[in-house]
Amino acid sequence: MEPAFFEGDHVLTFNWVSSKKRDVVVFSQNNNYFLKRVERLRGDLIWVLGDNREMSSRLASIKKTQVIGRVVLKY
Amino acid sequence: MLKTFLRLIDKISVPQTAFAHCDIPCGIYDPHEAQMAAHTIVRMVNMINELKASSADPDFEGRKKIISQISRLTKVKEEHAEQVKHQVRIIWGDYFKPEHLEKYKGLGDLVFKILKQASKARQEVNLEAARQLLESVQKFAEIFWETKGRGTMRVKSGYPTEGEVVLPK
Repeated sequence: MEPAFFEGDHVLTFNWVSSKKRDVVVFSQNNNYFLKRVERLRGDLIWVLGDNREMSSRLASIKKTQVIGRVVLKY
Repeated sequence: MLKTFLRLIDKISVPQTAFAHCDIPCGIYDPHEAQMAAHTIVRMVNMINELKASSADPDFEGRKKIISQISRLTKVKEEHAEQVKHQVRIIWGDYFKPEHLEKYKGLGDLVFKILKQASKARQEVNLEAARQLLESVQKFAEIFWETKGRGTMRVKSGYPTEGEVVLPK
């Protein structure tokens, strides 16, 4: 997610607002948490992608229910 | 101030880790290993074909020697056929996107062909099959580099197979 987020950054997420395009969200998948940017929303699905395209070049779809929260603060 | 406070809280209640990537950093793909493995299969077939028994009816020591040599060469041939399949499957599954399939209509068939040809190269001592596999892997490499906007060239490999390798320009 560089350059917006670097390894070791802490983030605060809120989950009482819906995610919109370009938001950064934390979501759970396969017992892990991931941090990616929302690229597209359609129905119950959200397409997410990492900012660093050299490292994260694949658009992936997740269900809205997988979203833990939207990142509101990096610290 | 707020950030310091939040960091302090995190020391008491350690937060969960979130990853930015789904697996080991992707984006580093190269069909070169598949080509090297295909060349190795050609080489192993050649070496098996070049083996000669010590006589028309070799003694036990002679049989033992040639069986050992064939076993070793076959093992390497089989391992590299699996390596071709493994490498092609990674690029196929992790790198290629629907738009690539749209542009390169024969790509899916080519991958299917490579997997079948690699199986045949495992099962048989067949130089023609090994060469066909290498040719398919080279076509695969050319498409791969083209999707990255890189032209390719076929250069002499320098391997004992005397074949070529596809490299990006």
